[in-house]
Amino acid sequence: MTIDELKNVKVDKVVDARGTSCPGPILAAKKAIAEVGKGQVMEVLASDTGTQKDIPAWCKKTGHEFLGLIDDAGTFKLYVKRAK
Amino acid sequence: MNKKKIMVIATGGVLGLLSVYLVKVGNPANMGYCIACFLRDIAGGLGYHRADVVQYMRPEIFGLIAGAFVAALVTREHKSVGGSSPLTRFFLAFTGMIGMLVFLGCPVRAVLRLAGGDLNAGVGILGLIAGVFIGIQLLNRGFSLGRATSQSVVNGYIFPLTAIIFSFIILSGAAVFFTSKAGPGSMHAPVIISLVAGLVVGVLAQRSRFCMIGGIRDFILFKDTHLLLGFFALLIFALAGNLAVGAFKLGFAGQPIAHTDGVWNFLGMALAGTAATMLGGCPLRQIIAASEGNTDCAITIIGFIAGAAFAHNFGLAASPKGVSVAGQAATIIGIVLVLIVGFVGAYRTSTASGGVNLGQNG
Repeated sequence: MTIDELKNVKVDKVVDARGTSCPGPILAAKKAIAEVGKGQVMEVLASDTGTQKDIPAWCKKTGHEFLGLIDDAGTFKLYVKRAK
Repeated sequence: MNKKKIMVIATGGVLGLLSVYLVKVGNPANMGYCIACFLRDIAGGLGYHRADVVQYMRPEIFGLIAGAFVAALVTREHKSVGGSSPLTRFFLAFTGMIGMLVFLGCPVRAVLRLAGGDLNAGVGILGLIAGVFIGIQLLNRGFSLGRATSQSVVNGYIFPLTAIIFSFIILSGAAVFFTSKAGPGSMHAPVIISLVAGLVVGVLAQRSRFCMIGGIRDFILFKDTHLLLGFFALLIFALAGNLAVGAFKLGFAGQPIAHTDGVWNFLGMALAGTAATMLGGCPLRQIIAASEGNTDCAITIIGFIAGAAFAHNFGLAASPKGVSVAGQAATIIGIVLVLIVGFVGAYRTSTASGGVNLGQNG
């Protein structure tokens, strides 16, 4: 998705993991994905730069769709669509 | 293979080869690079402990900090952050260091020892993996160090600039610090070579986010091999280097600066692995993050130094002869206390908007 598309995507759940260090954001995402329905979108907010790599890698392993990320002045907004 | 993976492999490879070279030019055998041993030596160099055979201001550490600091400044990744459970971090680092000194090495040295043919290190690495696994269970059930927040800019500069000042004092040759006349502390590469080796690894590790604990943790957590590639690159390049210079000797007995007590090699590294997983990374990664302005990680380094000083002042650290009764007791007590912190530290006090509970500072 493009940045503009990501900005307009309907978010069903926000996971605020800002300020937590690795692997805090990925653990928060793992926990929260269980709380969204199939096809719904979760937005993960993180400040740890490793999250840019970790969330896509986690999506690849779990089958969830990684829609993209926005770098908003040091806060990373990562969008994940639950697949199953 | 993407650029990030290449960076991780390059970091492990360069670290491995430099370690072999540093031993060739003076560092103790299988100790070209060891964050735990070098912080222990620095604790001695500053006079924090009385073990006169392990006192030396290891330039590798100061180079590492300077390299990571400059790389973070250039890439605008230097940020002053902190306030995420500093005392818990200090405690975990203090305790984890005792475990590492019972084994006689940090995760980097564990791999370097194995690459030198020291099979005792294989036992230690199994303990490390067990420790990471336990740490992950604690994280999964809610252990969190909480959130770091932005701090006044000056906070993030104190740690790296102090290290750079130390670097200049060491380079000047001024006899300010304690220095061993015998033993591992007296064995070292020329200062300038050690410092440059530190700088190179500092830059690479900052760019790649190289982490020995992270490699094992991410593989167990979500089968991600990104950081694990660095772990294996370190092993393969150091092994190749050792074979090339004739420094490979396979076996358990007679290995340099190592003991053969498998139980304590395993438990020492299990303690270190659990503590490091709860801390979010290995000692090398903590140094890099502290150099990037993370004051929580700077407190962690101070915890490592204090733990090293305590271990040597009170006979907890192992020697090639084995592990003292005090060291064995400290390892068991350390494991119990770290587990208690892990269970009790499962805070659930904050909820992000529509999100999940994260930690005590959120």
